[in-house]
Amino acid sequence: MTEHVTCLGCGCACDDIAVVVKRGRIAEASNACTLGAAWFGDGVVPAEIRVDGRAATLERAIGKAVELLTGAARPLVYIAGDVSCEVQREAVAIGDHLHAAVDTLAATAAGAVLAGQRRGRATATLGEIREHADLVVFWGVDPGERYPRFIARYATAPGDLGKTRTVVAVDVGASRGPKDAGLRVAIAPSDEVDAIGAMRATVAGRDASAARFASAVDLARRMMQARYTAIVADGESGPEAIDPDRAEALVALGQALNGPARCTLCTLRAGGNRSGADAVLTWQTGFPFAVDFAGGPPRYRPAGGGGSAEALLADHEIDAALVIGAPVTIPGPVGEALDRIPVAVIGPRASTSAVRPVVAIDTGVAGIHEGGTAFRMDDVPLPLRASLEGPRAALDVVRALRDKLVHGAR
Amino acid sequence: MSETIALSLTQAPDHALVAECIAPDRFATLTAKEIASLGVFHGGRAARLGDFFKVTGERSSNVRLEGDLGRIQGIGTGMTGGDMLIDGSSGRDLGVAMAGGRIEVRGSTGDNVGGARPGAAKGMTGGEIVIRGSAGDDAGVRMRRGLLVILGDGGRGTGRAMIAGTIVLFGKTGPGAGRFLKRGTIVALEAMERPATYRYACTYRPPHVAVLLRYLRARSGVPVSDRHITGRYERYSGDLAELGKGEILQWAGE
Amino acid sequence: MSNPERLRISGGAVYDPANGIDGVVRDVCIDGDRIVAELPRDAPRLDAAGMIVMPGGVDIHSHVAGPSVNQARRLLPEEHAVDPVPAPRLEDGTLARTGTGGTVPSTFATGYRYAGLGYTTAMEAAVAPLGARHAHAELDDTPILDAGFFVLLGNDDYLLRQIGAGETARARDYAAWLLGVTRAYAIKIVNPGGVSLWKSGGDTGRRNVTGLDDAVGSSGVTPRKILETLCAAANQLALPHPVHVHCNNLGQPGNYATTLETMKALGGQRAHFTHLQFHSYGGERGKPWQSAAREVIEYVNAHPETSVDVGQVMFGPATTVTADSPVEYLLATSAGGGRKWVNVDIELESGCGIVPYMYKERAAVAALQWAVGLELFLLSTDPWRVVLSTDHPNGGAFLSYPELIRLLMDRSYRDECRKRVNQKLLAGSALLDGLSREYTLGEIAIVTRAGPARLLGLRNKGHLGPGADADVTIYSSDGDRAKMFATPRYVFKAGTLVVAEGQLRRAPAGRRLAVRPEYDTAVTKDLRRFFDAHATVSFDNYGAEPVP
Repeated sequence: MTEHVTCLGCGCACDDIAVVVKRGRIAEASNACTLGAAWFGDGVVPAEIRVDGRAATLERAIGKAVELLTGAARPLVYIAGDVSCEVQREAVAIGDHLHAAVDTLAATAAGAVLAGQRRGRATATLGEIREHADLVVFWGVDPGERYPRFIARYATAPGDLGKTRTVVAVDVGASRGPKDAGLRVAIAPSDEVDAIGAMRATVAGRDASAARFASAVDLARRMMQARYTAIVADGESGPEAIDPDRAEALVALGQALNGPARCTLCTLRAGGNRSGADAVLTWQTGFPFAVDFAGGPPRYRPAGGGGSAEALLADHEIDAALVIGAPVTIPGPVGEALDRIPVAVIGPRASTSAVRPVVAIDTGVAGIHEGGTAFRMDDVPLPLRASLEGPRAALDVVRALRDKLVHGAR
Repeated sequence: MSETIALSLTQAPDHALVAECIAPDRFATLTAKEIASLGVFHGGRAARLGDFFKVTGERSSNVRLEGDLGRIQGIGTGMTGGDMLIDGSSGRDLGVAMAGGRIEVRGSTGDNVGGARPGAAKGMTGGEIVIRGSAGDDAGVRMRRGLLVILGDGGRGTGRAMIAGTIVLFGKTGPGAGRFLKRGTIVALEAMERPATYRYACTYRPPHVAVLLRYLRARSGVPVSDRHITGRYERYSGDLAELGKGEILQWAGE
Repeated sequence: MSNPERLRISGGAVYDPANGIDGVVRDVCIDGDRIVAELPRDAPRLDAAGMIVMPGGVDIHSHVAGPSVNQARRLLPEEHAVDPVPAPRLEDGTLARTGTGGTVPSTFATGYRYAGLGYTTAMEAAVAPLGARHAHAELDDTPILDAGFFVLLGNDDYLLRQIGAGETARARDYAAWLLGVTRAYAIKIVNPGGVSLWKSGGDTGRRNVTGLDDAVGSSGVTPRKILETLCAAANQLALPHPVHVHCNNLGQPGNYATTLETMKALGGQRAHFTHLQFHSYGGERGKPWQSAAREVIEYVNAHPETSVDVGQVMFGPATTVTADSPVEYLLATSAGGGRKWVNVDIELESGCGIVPYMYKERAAVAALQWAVGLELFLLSTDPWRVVLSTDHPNGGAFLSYPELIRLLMDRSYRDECRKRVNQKLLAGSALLDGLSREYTLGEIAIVTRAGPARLLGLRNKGHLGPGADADVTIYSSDGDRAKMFATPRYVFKAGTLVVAEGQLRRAPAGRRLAVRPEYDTAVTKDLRRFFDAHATVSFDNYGAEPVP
């Protein structure tokens, strides 16, 4: 049995999983939620190396990937999920060397990150919510669905605080807060950003209360009287369309509430160590995603700037791509576009990728077959533990590719 | 030195062309050859302005751009002075972080005209941009000073998070216009959707709007009708979630 | 240029204050990664005639790696966009990396630019234990520099509980354990107790401590107790560097009284007080500020057990990034607010606050801060204990060190600058009395190398004696000291020629500087209980050590 295993099934990165292996398969992942159990599965992954769909040696596959990438006029390096920060660091180095565009899974929460770049943010690591918050506001999200253990691990107060804590569900159209919340506030999706604005005006002591915002304004007053409010919102997009100004409005509200009281804005992030991809790209280039090395030093053209993988692919700018990570984690639009160009994939289940890669090298899954470092949704770094023998390590393969690229270039 | 410097597009770019070097104040001291050798990014890769434009004239801060510039981005970024006429349409990021001078666009522009670099506190900090066609999203975002005139329609988020300055909108605008605005003025000649965090103040005939519209008519030959110059405007103050020191002036008839 | 295993640097004027050498023309011999006394006559030579030879620079306090620094990087894309850093062309096949600069550069750019200034060692000054693993990962991507970090203590729940219970021995064992598991180099105390209050919530009344004897949570816990406990622990553990203290009331008018009280509270024991400039203001809230540099530096001069770095403010862009989150809230909301502001409350441990900031010559307070820093330098009687820093990037970026050196070495230049700045708050500043002192090259070598190395307890750094690390910086002599120190001609790091003719040529990985003091392991039992009850990270996953 391997204890204290970190799960990358969602951004909670619960690190209390105990994995039991029997006959080369994961028999049990105790403490894991349904998402986590599905993420660990039985731990059996393919160990293929394929070039043009046919079995090949590692050397040939890497040679072919080098050929593909060095022959490209406009390569893309895409960092997908389920790889460690150590692998992500090598992936960015490869992008730098290739003068490639580099984007990552972290871009799925671009809205929240861009809002933070405009205003900063008042936030906290998740343990602070548990230890300090006497008012927790779930803004249009029930963590039970996509972050099953979030409430149990991070939002359930110990001791007396638990008795006095108020939990509020803000229901924005169909995006509803937790069912068992002590208080509910309903907001029409079309009113959401205006309602947040009315709340912030209230915090600033200005009256902007149209009748339809009365309940939101009451909530703002409650937040002003709390000691420590935690606003929990989902950084990932859901089925509902979200007003592009919502993220910035919430950031601004969270900051403003630190006048009359204390407040933290917690942005929920999905799994696969995407927060690690954000951190690594930021420390190596100064930018969190949508980075372009084509001109040499990194340039940043996010959002409408056309520098995201999604935009570059949609504009048919990219003529070859290297995907590092599990292809199954790639967001729909990016995956569909990748299917139309030659791609090399290095990562878990690469050989089963829907993008029909020219080169596919299966590796282990970070946190199941491979160790390393991953980041929780709140940027807390955690060690990964291997609980099961797997195929070749992603780090070895990516380093071999980088080495070949560098020396091939000499 | 010549009257004007003309840049005519001779080679249509195959990719987005980021040409932040195109700025009258920069050209004022350069020969045609030097201008042609200024750096641009074509599909992210380094290239020269001369690879795409024929440059005639030199050492002038009076610049005229010809051709379909729809894929050309970042023209006039950070420009501090001079005059630039775009005889057609422009791509996104026209006049980003512009500090002075004047840009006139005969056609339409992409997103973020007169706006800010990603993460920058301020967008345009001075000067004038007149767009005869329509603007994309986020026109005049985080504007700190200056004048932005859109004769056609504005997109979503026009004037978002303005810190000061003035935007005149002849046409319609998308949602989120004026959101997060601290100070500054948005003059809307057609009915405009306002954030709920603006409060009606009064209806009056603002003399400064009349002065401004007369100036536009005289300076740029903008077709301003008298009913707008002499008309009544509803004043809405906001964004109350921010400082609440800005205003939307909504034309309300003669 | 080649990089022989053995090299004689001959004919340069050597400044090696740790060995009493002050501008003497002599040879410096490198064998491998060490300085040696002699080499055979036929060993390769580097002709340094007419040049100035010093040990590699040592930065005792800088924010270059870890969670807070990365939050600041993420916050500043507009700075990075206008300061691209192309990949240097290296000779030794190392894959050079691109990056971006600004006040908070990317990791590779940080290593390259420090080396480009002739610095070969730097200490990251504030890492929360929870972020230690992250800080090490960034330092792994920061080439050339030998680096370590100071781990944040003094607002952490576990320590405060031990102090409240009078368990000073256990507090010491805990500190030793924490230094080990986070692979840290020294103990950093930031606004002791104040950050803990800020995090615990509530209205504006109780968001920070105001002095050494305010209660922090339980009545038995005060800033004074926290300081005494950790200072004693550091000295009992015989750490190479004593407690590194960021005092209460940073940036507040009248805070010099708190600063002096703190120094006296730890009187007689080794302690380092950081970015002293930010803690040396007179006046009081609502009244005009003034300089109290003289009062503070006179105490330091008279107490050999006390050391400081200055934290000079340099005019231009800066980014304030600190664990002192309540202070950043005040800065973010001052002057009408509207600034970008990051606050991160770090569970059970510490905080983080970030506000980008511009120090303007025409701004009264910025001019005062600039003057206070220079006063501290110029009134100091012992350069070994009053060393150079800008608290990068808080008072200014490390790239401004050469400019700062010129201010210290060139009185007429300094006076010119002083006339340009806002005079409003300078009344009472010793600068107005026309401090005539000019630092010598020997003194600069002390405050930028020998001094910090000695204060950090780095025996093989900051000097050029036999056995020292072969970290050597060679300058072409230039009357413009800013120019001279900004562009060293040659820089050796552990014997590797990293800068030649002013160009970065090699970028080897740096070494990690860390301590692992002994302690009574009984404490870990209790810690396990504490983690099970309060932490969201498993005890076995905590810290920065490799896991099986």
